[in-house]
Amino acid sequence: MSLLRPERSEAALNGAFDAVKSRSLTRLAFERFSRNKVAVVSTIILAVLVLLAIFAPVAEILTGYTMEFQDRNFYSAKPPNWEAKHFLGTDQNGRDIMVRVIFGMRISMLVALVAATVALVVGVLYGAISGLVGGWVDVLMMRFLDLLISYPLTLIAVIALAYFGRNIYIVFAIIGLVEWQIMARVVRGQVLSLRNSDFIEAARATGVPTTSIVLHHIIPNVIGIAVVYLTLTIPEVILVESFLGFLGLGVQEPNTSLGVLISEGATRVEHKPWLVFSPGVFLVLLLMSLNFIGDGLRDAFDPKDR
Amino acid sequence: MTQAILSLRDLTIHFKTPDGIVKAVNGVSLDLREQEILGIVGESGSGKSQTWMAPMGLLADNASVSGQALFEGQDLLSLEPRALNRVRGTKISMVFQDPMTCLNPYLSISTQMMEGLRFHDRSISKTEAKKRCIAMLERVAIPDASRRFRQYPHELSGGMRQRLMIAMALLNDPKVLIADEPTTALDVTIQAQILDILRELQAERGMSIVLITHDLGVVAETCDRVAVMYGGRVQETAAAQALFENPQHPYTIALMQATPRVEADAETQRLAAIPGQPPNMRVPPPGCAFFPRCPLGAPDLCTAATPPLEERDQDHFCACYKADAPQLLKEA
Amino acid sequence: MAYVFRRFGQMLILVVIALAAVFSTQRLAPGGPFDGEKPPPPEILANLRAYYDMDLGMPSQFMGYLFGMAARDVGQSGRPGRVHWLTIPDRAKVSITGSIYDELTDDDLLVRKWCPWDEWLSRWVSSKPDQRPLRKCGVLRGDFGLSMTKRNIYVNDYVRDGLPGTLKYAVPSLLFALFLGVPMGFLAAYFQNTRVDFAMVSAGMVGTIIPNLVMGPILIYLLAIQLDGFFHWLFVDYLDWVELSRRQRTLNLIPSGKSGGPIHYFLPTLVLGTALLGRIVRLSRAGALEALRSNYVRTARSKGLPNWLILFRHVLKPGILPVVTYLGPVSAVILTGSLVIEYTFSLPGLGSQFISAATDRDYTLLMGTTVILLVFVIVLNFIVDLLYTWLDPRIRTEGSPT
Ligand SMILES: Nc1ncnc2c1ncn2[C@@H]1O[C@H](COP(=O)(O)OP(=O)(O)OP(=O)(O)O)[C@@H](O)[C@H]1O
Ligand SMILES: [Mg+2]
Repeated sequence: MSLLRPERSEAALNGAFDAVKSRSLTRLAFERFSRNKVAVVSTIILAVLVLLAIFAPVAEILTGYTMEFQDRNFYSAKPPNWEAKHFLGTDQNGRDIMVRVIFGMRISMLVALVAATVALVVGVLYGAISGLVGGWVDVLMMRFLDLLISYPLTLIAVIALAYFGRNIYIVFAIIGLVEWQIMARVVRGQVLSLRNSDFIEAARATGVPTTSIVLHHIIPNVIGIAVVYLTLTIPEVILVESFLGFLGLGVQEPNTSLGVLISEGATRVEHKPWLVFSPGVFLVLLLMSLNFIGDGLRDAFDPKDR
Repeated sequence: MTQAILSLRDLTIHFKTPDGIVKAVNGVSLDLREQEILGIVGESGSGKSQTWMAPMGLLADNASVSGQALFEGQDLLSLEPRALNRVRGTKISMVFQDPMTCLNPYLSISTQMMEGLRFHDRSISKTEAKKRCIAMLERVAIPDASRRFRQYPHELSGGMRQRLMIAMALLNDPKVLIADEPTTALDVTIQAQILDILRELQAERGMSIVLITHDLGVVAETCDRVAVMYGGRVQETAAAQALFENPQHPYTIALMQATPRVEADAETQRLAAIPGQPPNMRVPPPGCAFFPRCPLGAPDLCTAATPPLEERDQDHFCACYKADAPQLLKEA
Repeated sequence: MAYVFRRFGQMLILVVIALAAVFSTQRLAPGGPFDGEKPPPPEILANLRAYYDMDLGMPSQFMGYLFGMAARDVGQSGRPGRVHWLTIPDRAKVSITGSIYDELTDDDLLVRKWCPWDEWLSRWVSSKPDQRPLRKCGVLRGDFGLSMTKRNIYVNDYVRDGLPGTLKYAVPSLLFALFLGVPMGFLAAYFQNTRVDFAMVSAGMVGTIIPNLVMGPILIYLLAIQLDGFFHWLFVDYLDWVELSRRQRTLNLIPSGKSGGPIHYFLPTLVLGTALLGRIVRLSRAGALEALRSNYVRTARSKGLPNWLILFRHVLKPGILPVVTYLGPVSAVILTGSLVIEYTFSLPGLGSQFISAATDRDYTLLMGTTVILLVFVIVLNFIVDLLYTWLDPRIRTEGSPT
């Protein structure tokens, strides 16, 4: 490889080629994505949900009920009542379910975003170190990951949350630590294939320092794939969050999340189905749209799968 | 000479892909005669394998085929699956290129050998089938055959796997054997062994063999007749000797110049690579497929229509508008 | 084989690490098992702490937990932390009735010593807690110790009661997902890109998209309530068919407590099983597709074999291999899922014990349930590895998966 002629390695170095290549790749991927009807519809649904979450206080203004307001006339879970503007009914304490669901979704999204970022950071670091260092370190780290994949980390999260309180920051961190393995694996694969690619070899042959190779070539190329997998991690994280909330271990009053709301209704579904249906529908919509978007993105960037 | 045993008539194979239709094979008409070894040569992607997989019904799902493949009075292409299954594996069998992936890694060699034998003839007992398989393994010179018989494919070397494939194909004593690059992946000594085995078996059993290859040397050594393919068409067919002594098509001539010859002095011999790229079969060039790379190409003449196969000599066909191509090339 | 045992060893090491981690976090975390609403008086607290070895350093606590402890004199010396090696084997039969509180105020000797296997076995057989010797043998000998919050109950008994409750639904749902999902995946692959394919994949997807905490209530509502109501209306009100007893009038789908006929397996199995189904359909579809497109299947077809034979002989093994590898991670999915169904259907099981142990800081109970859950994971992974070597001859001879 050191036999490469200098012009060629310079061309590879200044990155003009990959810039062009990656831009057109992104365009191509975008075109493929927009041809995927399911993914496009999911994007629209997600956009609506995100807007709802962002403008959650509007729901309070419109209905006139705040999250914690306990309507005396509607104690002990009443079905939807349009005249009283309880569009989705009330809960045990007479609080408006629609407002609570929208705020719960907001929290779920927030947790998901932060926790997924934690997962992203941990996964990218782990994968990058493993791929870059190589050798026995790599072997060891991957072995560990292999074992971890079939390990009930969610249960460990249950223990950790039970012990260290349910402070929302702890919830962020712990959920993030549950869902990083796939990211690590994908990033490592990408790093390895980059390491062996021509333009990195060329850069190395002409004596570009390692740090600058990592900064200018590896990181930008890893970011793309990491973002694609981030969209697949977010629904996983939402699922873990709702699971923990369901068991009463996630976010605490006065905050609420979709999982908490579902668990409030789950055991009363026989007589008060609306308690569980509204948060359930929102959770399913959220998970579904995120999953389809993630799948769509992955297929768009990596069409050989399937 | 003799009668045709398998004849392809105007065989056309197109593959539907997301990026367009690949016109892999375009109107191939060829006869495989009784007891001959027919060599098929051509560049990678010229449609050699697909042409001969079509009569076996082995094309991928995205293929659409037209034309005929006549065998014993039947058109194999329009045969229903059950009837086709009675032909393939018994009367016609195939040895594939790439022996590493053509054997099922999860099944033992005994299972894979015996299934073809016993499915077609239920009366064969297990012990007899085993005996026949081991005998066949010995016939293709696999040492320690009865031990190998019990092993799994990954325990065999590449050469042994290729011989195993040949043994498997011959178990039912077929009339036609299609050997798709049986020697490409192997080193020269093993290559020679396998070609010897093929030739011996052909003489012994009187079958016809289609030998698909890249290698003109292999053709010269082994085949009775040759067909040269380019861009999914047959460009030239002739008896092997005639073709080598008097090649007609510019592509054949170029191919021969690109092949090292043993008798030539290594220092004076210059290998001429064929300039340009093989054609993109999604948008094949109009007219003669070889025109873009042909040193003699005449823009209007050659792109107007595809040149038909014409008989130049006794049993020597060529598809080129320039009848005097060899002379012209020699002068140039 | 060497490969299987190596993997098993690695899993085992990971379990010990996990146990150490849980053990140390619970002891480092703020709060403890004995600071409930009414904390016990200080001297009892000291005895309790001594009984549970909590007065020792963490490493010796952990070693004691794993291997058991030699006899310790707790009450008489009054000085927690001193370890005596007792030589009075007959004092070993100190029994406790009711709460350990009363016993300990008597300043009695608590004796533990190495426990022979027959004693341990007899403990599993005898169900009366007060007939058991009060001694610690360590987890490695199968002794999980006394619960810390309900101090008259052995964790072993908890586990014995809870484990069947969990396995009862875990195993059928796994089988349900496998025996439905693999054929579905194969069908989808065989009819790739047709309506059959689409139907199979989307049917599998339903369970993936609807998480089981939503699936549970939905199925209860739809099947146990609406369908039940419909049948009731149809047979009793509308057709006025037969006089049915109250019990016969409903499908009685909702499992309740311990009583439960086969019909009670239906909903929990469906909830847990559908969560796995989508993944299994996808994986087996992908595996079968790859095999169907492979060169060796082409070889098999060139031999003139019919499709069914090719499917069963040449596609089956490579097709289920991805599913088999997924069975490792599946253990985690099943465990979390069983927590959900235990909550949704109010079923007794390891999961609810696990949660309550974690929230109540019942250290021994939590450790015990964790051990059992991890053993479940290990066993499943061991089975996976065995299956893998059985399916793939390359591992059998070369010793590592490709
Ligand atoms: N399933 C398929 N879908 C699309 N195109 C295909 C498919 N199978 C084959 N082709 C194309 O058909 C053409 C002819 O393929 P074929 O396998 O016959 O080539 P070949 O002459 O045997 O080459 P080689 O010497 O490399 O084996 C190639 O361009 C190939 O890309
Ligand atoms: Mg070929």
